[in-house]
Amino acid sequence: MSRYLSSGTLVALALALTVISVRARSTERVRLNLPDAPYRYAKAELPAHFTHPARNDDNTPTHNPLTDDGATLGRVLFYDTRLSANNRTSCASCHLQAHAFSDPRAASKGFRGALTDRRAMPLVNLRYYQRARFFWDERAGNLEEMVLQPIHSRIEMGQDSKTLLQLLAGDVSYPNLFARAFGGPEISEPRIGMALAQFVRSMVSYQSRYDKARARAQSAQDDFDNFTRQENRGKALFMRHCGNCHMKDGNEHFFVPTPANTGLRPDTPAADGGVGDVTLRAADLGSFKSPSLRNVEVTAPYGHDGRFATLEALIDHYSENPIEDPNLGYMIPVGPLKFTASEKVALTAFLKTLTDQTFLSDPKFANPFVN
Amino acid sequence: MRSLVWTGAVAIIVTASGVVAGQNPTRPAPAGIVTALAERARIRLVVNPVAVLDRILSFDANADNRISRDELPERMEGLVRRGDRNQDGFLTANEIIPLIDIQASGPRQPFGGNVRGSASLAGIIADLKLPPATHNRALAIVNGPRSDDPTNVDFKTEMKDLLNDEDYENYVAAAARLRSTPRIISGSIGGLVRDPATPPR
Repeated sequence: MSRYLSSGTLVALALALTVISVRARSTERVRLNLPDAPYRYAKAELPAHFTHPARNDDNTPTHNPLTDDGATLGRVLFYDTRLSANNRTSCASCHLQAHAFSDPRAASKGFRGALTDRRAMPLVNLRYYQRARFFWDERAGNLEEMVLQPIHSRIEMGQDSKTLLQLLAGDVSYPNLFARAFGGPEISEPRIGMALAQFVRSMVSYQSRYDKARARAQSAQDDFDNFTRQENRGKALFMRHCGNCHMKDGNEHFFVPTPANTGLRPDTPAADGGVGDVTLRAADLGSFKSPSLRNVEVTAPYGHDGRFATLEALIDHYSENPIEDPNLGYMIPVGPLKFTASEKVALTAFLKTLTDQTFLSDPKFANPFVN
Repeated sequence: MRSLVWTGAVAIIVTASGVVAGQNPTRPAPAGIVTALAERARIRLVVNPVAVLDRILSFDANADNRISRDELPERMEGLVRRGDRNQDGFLTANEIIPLIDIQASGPRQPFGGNVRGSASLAGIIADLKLPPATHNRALAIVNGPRSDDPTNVDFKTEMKDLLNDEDYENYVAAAARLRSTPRIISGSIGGLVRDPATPPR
């Protein structure tokens, strides 16, 4: 026998390696770092001021209750780059935990490098947005619908449904995750939406300095015992001048309850019309949904187009600018408020008390993929 | 009376449509717009919906009087799905008009403004978070007799003697806002309406 392998043996070897490689791809298992028992997503010990006796702010639908296994699957999907056409972009590419799941850039970069025309909104406390409509223009009627749109967006992630389902089905981890979440291994787009929505609803920030002090106070109006004088002053100023929108009816999730027009729309035909571009209602042109102010310290830049680079610039908009827009019809203008320098510092100091370091670093929201 | 208002509404629509067309000489006003809008509007004034139509038509990049999905920002492409009645992949003005929400373009319940906290000088003194003794003296001042000096509005003279520079500056600014910011009481806009639970000062 020759020392060298015959050509036939080489061909056979090459074929064998090819088969092994194909079989390896079809039974791919990406390396996940998940705890043996799922993290506790569903039964967080929320403070009393999160619930209102006369109002239910929780938008969790009955057909998709929040479960630990459902949120676990959603967490894996949230960080899985195979949800994009280039296999490099995940939800987490533009929604970063350290920034309360917002993007620190004014515009996000999609899978082909194209920029979005609005920045990625923070995903904090969305479970408690009572209107349950999402995106800056509220075009998504529920969270399950919202989470799927970026996946198919030709700018953001560009993935098509058939390819997505094939890729996930080719990973042996997913059937088990889907079975634990939904009682069966079937992988479908509605289930992907439901799992992602559960994970996003589990992102609840409730352990800021504000919350810890609020739990000891009789009401939000009281001076908080762990606040400095400046922070309590800032809180008082905030409640007097901002609270009618950002704490309306005692809402301490710091959402504005409906989209609002705060004079951010330049008078050009190309200006972003916000909610009005969806409803085609003239009075809605220039109105935008506001994210929660929780963790606002880390969610710069601000505004739907990220025009305010800092909290100080955002406060200056209300302090120095007359709020003007033809569609302010039902909005009471809140500016210019002419805050003093000292008042602006106090307001900023208060807003920083809404930062929840536990939420921003909690491993149960972090990337579960090993590499 | 109804016919007079109806005539006026049509006149406004015609005028607004003419203005829109005049501003875009290469794009004549779409056929049927006046009739269609007037029909939908009935007796209501309908200037605003013309602006909505004009905004959508402003995306017509190739000036062919119709809007394709590609000409719209991705977030607005749903409009083509909603309005394309003949399923040709384009929106014309006649297909856009039925989508425009005319009936809800009127005024709504006021929202926003400045109502939290006691709308009085005592309230803004509370906001200053002064040391207790200073706070009590400040309250005594604003609850005391008013000065006859017309320039001493809001007890500025007494407050300047009592407060440090920073607190005084903040007090003056807050008092000025108290006098100038519109307030909402029970859903209607008021001027400087006093909090009924608090004395006038």
